[in-house]
Amino acid sequence: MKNRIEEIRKSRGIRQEDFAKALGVSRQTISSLETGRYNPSIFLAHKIANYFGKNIEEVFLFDEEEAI
Amino acid sequence: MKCKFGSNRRMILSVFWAVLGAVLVGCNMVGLLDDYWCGMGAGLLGVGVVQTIRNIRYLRSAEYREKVDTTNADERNKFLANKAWAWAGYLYVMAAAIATIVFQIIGKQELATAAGFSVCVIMVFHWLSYLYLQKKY
Repeated sequence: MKNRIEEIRKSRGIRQEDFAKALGVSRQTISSLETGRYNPSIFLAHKIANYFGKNIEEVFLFDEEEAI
Repeated sequence: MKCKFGSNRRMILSVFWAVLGAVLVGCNMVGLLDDYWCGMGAGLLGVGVVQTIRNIRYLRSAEYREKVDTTNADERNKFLANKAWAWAGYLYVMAAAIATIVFQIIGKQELATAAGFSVCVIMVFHWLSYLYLQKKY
């Protein structure tokens, strides 16, 4: 699943380390999320969207074809 | 100082393993136990000492504690650990199945039976786990 985590994080000048700390995950997890190698649980996705003050759909781009 | 993941219990357990290992090695030295128990004792002593050092570091260093707690709570880490177990189980079954055939061909009947039996045990455990998880989720 594609996402806009890196784009939003960078636009706000937040470092991966600080972002990871705020979410209670490792920096590697943030890196994997940003490159799309790892899809988060609904809880982490909600936490990320909340952190940015956005809806989940604004951060994570759901692709129906990818889900099939 | 707030510690997570039962650090006191872990400390007691790691010291216990170290003491048990030292006792086994000591008993071997005075001739009460054979070399098999000495080897096991040395292993336990090593694991116990390393775990105890880690636990002391966990209790004393806030930075290290935060790092360990984050790693333990990290959902990707849990996902990777579960996946690694799944791969390890699958690889074990494949290796044991091949070993069963090879041992049978070279006439090592007992080893072939043991390897085949271990495959069956894993498959039964998998089936039981699947049934349990199906009810749970």
